[in-house]
Amino acid sequence: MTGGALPVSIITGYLGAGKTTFINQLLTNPNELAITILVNDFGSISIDNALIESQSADTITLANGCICCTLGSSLVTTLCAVLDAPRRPDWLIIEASGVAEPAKLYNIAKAEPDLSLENVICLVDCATINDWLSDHDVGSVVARQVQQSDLLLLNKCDLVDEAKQSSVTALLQQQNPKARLFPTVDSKLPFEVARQSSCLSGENLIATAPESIPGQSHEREFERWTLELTGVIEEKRLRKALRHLDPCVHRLKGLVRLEHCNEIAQVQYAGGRLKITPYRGSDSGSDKVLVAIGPAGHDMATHLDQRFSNISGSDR
Amino acid sequence: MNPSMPFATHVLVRDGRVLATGNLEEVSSWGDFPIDDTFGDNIFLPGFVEGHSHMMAGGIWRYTYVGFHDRQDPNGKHWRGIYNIKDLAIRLTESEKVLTGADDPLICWGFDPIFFNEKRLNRHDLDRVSSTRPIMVWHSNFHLMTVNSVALAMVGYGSGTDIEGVLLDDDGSPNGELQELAAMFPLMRRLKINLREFGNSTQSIEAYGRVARRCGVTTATDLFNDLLDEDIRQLNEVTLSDEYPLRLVPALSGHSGTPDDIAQRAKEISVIRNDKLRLGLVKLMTDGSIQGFTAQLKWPGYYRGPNHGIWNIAPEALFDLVGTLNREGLQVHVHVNGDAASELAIKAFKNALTHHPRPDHRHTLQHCQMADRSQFHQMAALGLGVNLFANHIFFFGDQHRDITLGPERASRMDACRTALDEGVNLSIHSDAPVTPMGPLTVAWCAANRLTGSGQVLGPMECITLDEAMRAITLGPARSLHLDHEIGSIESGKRADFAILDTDPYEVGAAELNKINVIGTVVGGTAFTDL
Repeated sequence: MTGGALPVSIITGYLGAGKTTFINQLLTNPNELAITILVNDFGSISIDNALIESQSADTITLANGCICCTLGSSLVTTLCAVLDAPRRPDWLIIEASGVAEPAKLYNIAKAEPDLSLENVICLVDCATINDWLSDHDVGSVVARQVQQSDLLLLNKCDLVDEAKQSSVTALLQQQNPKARLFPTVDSKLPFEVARQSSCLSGENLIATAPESIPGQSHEREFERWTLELTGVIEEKRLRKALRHLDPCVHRLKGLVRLEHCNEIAQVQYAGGRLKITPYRGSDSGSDKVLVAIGPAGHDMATHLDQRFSNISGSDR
Repeated sequence: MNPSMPFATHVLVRDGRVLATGNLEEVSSWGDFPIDDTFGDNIFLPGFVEGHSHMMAGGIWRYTYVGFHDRQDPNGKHWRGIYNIKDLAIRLTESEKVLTGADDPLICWGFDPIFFNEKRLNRHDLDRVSSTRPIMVWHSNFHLMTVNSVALAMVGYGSGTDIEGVLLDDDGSPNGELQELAAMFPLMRRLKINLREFGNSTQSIEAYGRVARRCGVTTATDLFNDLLDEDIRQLNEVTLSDEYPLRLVPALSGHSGTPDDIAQRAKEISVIRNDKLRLGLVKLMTDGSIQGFTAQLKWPGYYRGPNHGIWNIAPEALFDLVGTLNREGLQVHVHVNGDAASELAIKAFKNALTHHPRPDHRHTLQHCQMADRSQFHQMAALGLGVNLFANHIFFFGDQHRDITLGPERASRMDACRTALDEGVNLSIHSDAPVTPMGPLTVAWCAANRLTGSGQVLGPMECITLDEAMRAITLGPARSLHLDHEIGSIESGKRADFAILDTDPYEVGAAELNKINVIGTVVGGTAFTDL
């Protein structure tokens, strides 16, 4: 780890939606990443963290809960251990409990300067989601899982007919118009999509910035926007430019040199949340770049170009 | 307190056990024994059994107490309550004097502004105490804290911070109040507050023992513990000492693995035991708390205020866990606060016991504050016990009547009378450190049902002195499967006594909370240097 915040993804969804299968698939993808998984689910019928078969990743089981009843101590202790370890992982994946509200977890990633929230991925069982949403005991928490996510996986599509799938799609879009929807079978989502917003650090970002997202088959589904910044930029103006961005901007990140302190800062924007934090990695000396990603067909580039049209430091 | 012999003048002890009770003539018939009248006129009661408290009640005292109610620390120091911000500043300034390093953090706990009639505490109040070291004031419910500017700077909270739970002033800068774990986590990490250590270090276990013996408790639970090998080794080591004044019954957290894992672990550790350590009990959590609006309530829900009901376990996962643990012969205690949670737990037990009937399982519902007569009836029918949170009547009763539940449901909270009438084994508890450990106070609450403001909340649910005393001795002893060993002073049982300066039966239920505890006897050894 060379400075910068540890990227975090939150995997949410009610029991049986396919979270563990999904994580298994991320782990079996051949890659160089050191991934740590925090399993915050327990006592569930079909999910067993022993099922998470990975050779390369650490899996740590947590007890979920609130701090007053001592359950929360497990999360606090574990997160501290991960963050304060001599070598941090490249990617931290937290599998939320089936009855957890993702906001409670992602707020930690927002608050802790050494963590950077990458995305919240919610798995939905197409066949049962209607029942769960109207369930007396858990309906409200299942709804919040859907509402608080960036990526919705309509999982187990093979178990329903087309009419059902489109009615579920409509229902989810109504619950969360901003999230991106992916119909999946057996929790199969291309690795790159799960990590579409998961460039590892500012450093890696610069190295890969001119490239397109790996996994070209998805290239046409996404639009990218990049902006090279040659000079310094005033933090206040940067914040203003990134305020209330169109929801088509799924993710924006990069490094900038701030005017008042002449220091490099890391910019992270996802799901309407902006974070500007000091960058502690080595300065490669190269130009500073902002990169944004969003679904194609929404004219994201025009929108962002407008926002940055009169910002000093940009070469446009 | 042995119902077969409620009163006696003499007790004969041998090898840590009661050989006989009765009058001098009766016990003398056992032979020639030296008479120890150290406690001359004092009153011996069976050692009290605290059926729901947490080891954290000892460990938390490493930080400065700033709560509203007077409280005694493990070493016997009396801490006066904090009634306003000025009191708080004085307390903090005093505590600061003992800190050696210039930037050592000043951490305190128990703060209860709900009782204050003034503006809310903010960072400026704390900055006046110190502008060089971080100050963290943890509120009594542990869900909130107020911190000074140095602490805010440590975690990079400043103007423009937009994080849920970081409260802002009108000018957009943080006012010092941090709400919920997410906002608090970065500071806890940097101040190295190790929550696990509160519950598992030798220091905490010892402090817990001192807390207990000060209020006459000779057996206590620690009702939610990870119980890793290292924790158990430490518990075993501390409790093996003759100097340790408490029998401990820690419950394994049922939330850290699959049902089969939990069952296997509980069985595995239950073979580790000594006279003062018993393992094997499993604790499950369902909902949150009523005063935090996180309990699960049946219709019509909360009286005033938002519903933030949470489940700590998915309902069907609870069925699975309870089913597995019951089938495997284990004993389960389940945290339920709201009536929707107790309803769910009852259903889970009904399901488990229907598929796998078991005599005398002693599964128990903990807190169970809103159960009504129909639920108590079902508990009795299923053989479930209940441990009611009677202290709530005094500590939060006014709030429940006015805010959370409204007058009617508040008046039948912690319905001790109904539980007994329906034939449910009854215990009552403090949930320390949520409220201070003190069985005589809990018994006083259950018998008198007076709120903090001095009003009677639900007189129909008051129980008698005798019933209240049983609910802090034999009741919880039975809920822990220990009533053959402890809970009354009678031949064959362990010589565990609470020594009081006043006879509860002389002063009556109304005065229970004024009785002083002189010390305890555990296994025949006196612990009186309070």
